[in-house]
Amino acid sequence: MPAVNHSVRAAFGALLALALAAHAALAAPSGPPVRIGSTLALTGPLAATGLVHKIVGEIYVEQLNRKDGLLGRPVEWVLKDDQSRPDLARTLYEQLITVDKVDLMMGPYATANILSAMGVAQRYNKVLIHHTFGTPSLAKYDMQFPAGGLAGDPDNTIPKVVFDALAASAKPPKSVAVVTSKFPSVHFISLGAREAAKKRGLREVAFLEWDFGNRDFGPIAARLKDAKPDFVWVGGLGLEGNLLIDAMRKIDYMPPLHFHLFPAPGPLLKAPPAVHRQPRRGRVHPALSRARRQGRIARHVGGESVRHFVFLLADARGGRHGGKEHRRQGHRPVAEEKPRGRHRGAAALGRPLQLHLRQRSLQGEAEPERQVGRHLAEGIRRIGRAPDHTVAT
Amino acid sequence: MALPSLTLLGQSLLSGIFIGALYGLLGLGLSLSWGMLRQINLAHFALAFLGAYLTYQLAGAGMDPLATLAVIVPCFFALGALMHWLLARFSVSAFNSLLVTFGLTAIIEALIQWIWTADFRRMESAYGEVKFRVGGLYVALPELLTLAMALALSLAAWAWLRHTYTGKAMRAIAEDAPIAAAFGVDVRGLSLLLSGLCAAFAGVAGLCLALSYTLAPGQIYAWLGVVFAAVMLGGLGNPLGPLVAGIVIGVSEALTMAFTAPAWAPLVSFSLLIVVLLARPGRI
Repeated sequence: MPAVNHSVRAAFGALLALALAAHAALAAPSGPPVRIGSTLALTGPLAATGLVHKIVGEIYVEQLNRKDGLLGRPVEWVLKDDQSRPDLARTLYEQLITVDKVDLMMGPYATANILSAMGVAQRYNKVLIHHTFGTPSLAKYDMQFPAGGLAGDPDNTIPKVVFDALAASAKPPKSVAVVTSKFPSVHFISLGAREAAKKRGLREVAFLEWDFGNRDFGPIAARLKDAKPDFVWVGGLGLEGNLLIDAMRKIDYMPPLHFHLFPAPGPLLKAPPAVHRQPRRGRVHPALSRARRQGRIARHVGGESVRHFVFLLADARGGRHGGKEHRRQGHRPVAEEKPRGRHRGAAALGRPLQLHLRQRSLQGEAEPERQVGRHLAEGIRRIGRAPDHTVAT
Repeated sequence: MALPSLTLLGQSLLSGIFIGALYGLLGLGLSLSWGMLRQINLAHFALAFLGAYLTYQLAGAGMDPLATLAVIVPCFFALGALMHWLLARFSVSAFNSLLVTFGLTAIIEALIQWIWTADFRRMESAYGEVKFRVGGLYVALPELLTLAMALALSLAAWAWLRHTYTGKAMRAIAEDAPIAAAFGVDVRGLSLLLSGLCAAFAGVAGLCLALSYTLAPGQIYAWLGVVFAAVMLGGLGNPLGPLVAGIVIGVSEALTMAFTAPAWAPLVSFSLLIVVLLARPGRI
């Protein structure tokens, strides 16, 4: 959820910065609205994530209008539903420019749709700021700007940070299973993970691919159980990770460690197995209690898997999440926050982490990428006794 | 290449049988309405998901998921009969019914999204956590229930069509409706009855979906291709056909996933369909 919060806010923030750079005037919002156009996957297979983007975007626009607006004018978000379809996204972006005559454009959700929008932006010579482009090497247009925080080579950076962290943990995995959807941006990062594991001498006990939209994860879960990997890299998008977890639970199996690449932000929170397995009051892991007392965990979001996710990130940040400073961060123009140098790679791990790195970068503090891996490894080590470890970007 | 273990083989077989049973259950109503009423009812999938969401809602309000059938089945029966009445009222042909019911699917999807949003929904129930261990194999209760319901409904529909007067009359309507009417068969009434039953089957399939799967409105379309393949392989209007064909497809897919690349699994159902169409072109 914070990842989505950040990426949508970042995109809006980037637009704001862009406009402010051109017109350095601030006043109470009045006059004709500044129209920002975009599409989102409000229906179709990517809708669960698209909907969260919509909610976050609406909240941000509301906050913006309650303050100074944009250039002293209120902001109007012209949002259309691309039904998770790149072909429709292309048509709708044409409409946004030619019919709705929007002033600025923001990208849709997910790589394929962003590519479609990018083609339209290029044709009309418009700036496009987008936030969830999973294959940066495909973006050839000069006036496209990613605000989501993935590094230029996520197939290297994401696996590197994850495997660095695992290698530095108390019990590093010796075998790995890479299971992945064939959804383009997810697939190529998972292939990067495969390479990274090979370079580090991990024994690959399974490599399984499925088509996006696969219904039956039972046999995949059975193969994982049969292969007994120490660590499972799940290149899943949206609900796929949940479906795999469900299938594994049905056969009474859970790998010691599993990493999920791009899960939809909501379902992991809502997954009943995770909620059921919350420790009762007073039985929280000591490291977790300590982290809470020290304010390193912003809030208890519920669900063992998700808590671990938050815990790891909070631990990796080594700082307060959800404090005043962090809240202010949401309103800060993203142009000022742009990560520099090595931080870009570390930022790929997770957007909340990236947010912190940006913050640290702004404050002039250097936090090398290896440090992030070390912090993460420490997080993994400290929760290493719990039965179900899910780390998610 | 190392040989897969017997446990993997057994677990994959079970997984294939269970998902095949769901294909069969989803295909039952579709097959009957297509084969006997000449209506290709794409909205059947949307009704199944509507049933799943209603189960989710009622279970969330404290009802036992199985008890929700007492509400859903009669409501869906009425809904199915109403849909058929409308299609018959406007004399919608078989091909046009495909288009009309596709439109209905989009409307039902929008309705689901309006009420429950596009976010994923997962029903929490006591059944979801129950599983049995047989040797080294695990059998989850929701999937066992799905298999039991698919078997029960398919056999009941088969027995009804084969051994009862109304069933025989229904088959006569499917064969030649005007002649059946000339012999005193109530074509209109029986067609409404069968449509209602088909929609009720969709409601039951919805319960099984809600028990085993996380729900999202867009997933309506994910089941369409493979269930159509099961219906066509099983033979239109044959109540046992979709179940048998569904299990064959499910097991083939599961074994493909277990022994080769899981990404090849979707090819199985359509390859089987092509082989059957080539070998027995008069099958459908």
